[in-house]
Amino acid sequence: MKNRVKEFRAALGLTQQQLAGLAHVTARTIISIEKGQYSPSLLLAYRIALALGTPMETLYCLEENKQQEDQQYEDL
Amino acid sequence: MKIYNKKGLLWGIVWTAVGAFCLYRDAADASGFLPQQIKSVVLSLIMLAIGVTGFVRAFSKRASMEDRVEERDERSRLIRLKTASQTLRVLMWVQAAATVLGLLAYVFTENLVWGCLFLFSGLTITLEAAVSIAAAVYYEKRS
Repeated sequence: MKNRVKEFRAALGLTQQQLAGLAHVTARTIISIEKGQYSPSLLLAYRIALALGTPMETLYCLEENKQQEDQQYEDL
Repeated sequence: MKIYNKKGLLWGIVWTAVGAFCLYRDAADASGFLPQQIKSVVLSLIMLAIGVTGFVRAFSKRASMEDRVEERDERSRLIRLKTASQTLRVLMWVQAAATVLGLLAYVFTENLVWGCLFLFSGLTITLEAAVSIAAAVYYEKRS
């Protein structure tokens, strides 16, 4: 899933380890989320959004991801 | 001193005890083959190091917090689940292959060893399938 976690984290000057500490997860999880390899649970997504002070809709590009998934369903 | 991680402390004690026992046994029985003894001592020291580290970490608030985060991390849990699931899937295929091969070998050779392989693999695969169905029903109801 596409997201803008890296962009917002960098804007705040936080390291992956620091963000991981704020969200109570390991730095590896933050790295995977930033790479789009791992989709976080709703609660973790909310924790990260709170830590970065960004609405979830913006942080996780929800509209764009929904449209992408809708397209995949239409292609079936 | 306050204990922050009881489970970690317990494992630390177990590893330290096992490591110390093995080291003592190696020291007491010095008549063995030298390379084998060196290997055994190195293994004992590794066990001792794991045990002491776990023991010390159990008394550190920061280290215990790190351990807890690592244990409860949702991605790590997902990886553990996926690993277990993949392992089981591969083992089931191996057992299925062993069952078929055992049956074919028994039909062609009439050797009882192959028959036993077929029976054992068949029984285990049936048991695994039954447990898998029961677990699926359980989680279907609970999730």
